Amino acid sequence: MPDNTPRGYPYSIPSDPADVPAAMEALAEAIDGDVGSVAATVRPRRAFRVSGFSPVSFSTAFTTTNSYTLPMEVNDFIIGDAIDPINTPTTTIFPKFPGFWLFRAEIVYSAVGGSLMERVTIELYRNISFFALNGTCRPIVFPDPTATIPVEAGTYCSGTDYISLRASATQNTGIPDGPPMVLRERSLFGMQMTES
Amino acid sequence: MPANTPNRNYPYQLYTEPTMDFPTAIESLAEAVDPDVTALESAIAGAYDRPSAAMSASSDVPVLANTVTTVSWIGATVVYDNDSMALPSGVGGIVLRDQGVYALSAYVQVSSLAGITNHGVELSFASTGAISSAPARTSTLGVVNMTTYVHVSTLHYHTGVGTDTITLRIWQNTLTARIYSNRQITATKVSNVIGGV
Repeated sequence: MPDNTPRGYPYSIPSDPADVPAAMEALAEAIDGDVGSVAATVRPRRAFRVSGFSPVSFSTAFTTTNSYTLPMEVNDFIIGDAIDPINTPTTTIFPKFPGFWLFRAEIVYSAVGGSLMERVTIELYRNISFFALNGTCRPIVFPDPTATIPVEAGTYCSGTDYISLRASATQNTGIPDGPPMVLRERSLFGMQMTES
Repeated sequence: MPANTPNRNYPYQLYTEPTMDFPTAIESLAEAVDPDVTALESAIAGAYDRPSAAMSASSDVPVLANTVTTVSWIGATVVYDNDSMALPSGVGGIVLRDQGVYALSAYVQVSSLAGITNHGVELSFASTGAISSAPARTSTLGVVNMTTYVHVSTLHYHTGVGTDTITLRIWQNTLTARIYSNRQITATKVSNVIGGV
């Protein structure tokens, strides 16, 4: 009666019949199946990046803060079925697997000449709560009024939580302002760092 | 004297063995492959579960003018922690234990202050480790009556020798104390470095 290793690999003991081919085959078959099952667990780390390009304009004059949740329109890449592909523009991205995810996002903004915007912020939301912010004050620099703001943070996602990217612009002069600021390209990257 | 395979060092007997002992030979082979596959299985599983932590806080804390101040995490909410990394205390931060490269990121919200004109707010990471003692720093302008957000992110290497505590420091240059409130810090391991750097 062969004995077994902790992983169940059989090997002969002295009292076994001296059947070397059968013993070798049994061991080889056991290792083959086991290594095959271990190898099947190897996969790329799940990750994605989606982006949007259609301009989002702060279309009316305002005196406080206007916020927009930015639509994503393009699947830049999706690794390991991390999210369902975007078919129509969406503001909610659902990482499909539970665990700790690292997110990074950027927005490109520009101000049409004359805007008195005093702060632009980028905000990462999980469901209805923000978990990361970044902002810049005095964002308008002529003659090139275009810039990018990044934000990066990790958080837990349950598999049904969704991530949104928001941007806000504030002007604080109390004077209705125009023409507006325009939010342009944006992207959202996510990578699953743990499985639970 | 058995020989060994070149890559995984599995033992096998040679024709020149003085006495052929098949049960011992096949047991040696099976017992060599077994822990090797287990180690590979563990390495694969570990690659999907990297040491990660994040914590956030929202309590109001003053930061004096022109004074580099360690950000407090008293009462912080540990959002995630799978390696006893988060230290929700006054001079807390995130402790890196496992060797490797970590993605670090953090932000702090600094309250507005009436009557204060242009000023700067600066945020930086600090590390107790031997490498990259001040790995990242950013600053931004603030304006009158405007809440300021400061964000910093970097990749950071921990040697694995001892622990490496990552803290967050804030500085501002108005003439009086300002209050910081919402804040978050993240550390997640993105890679091993075989053999170190």
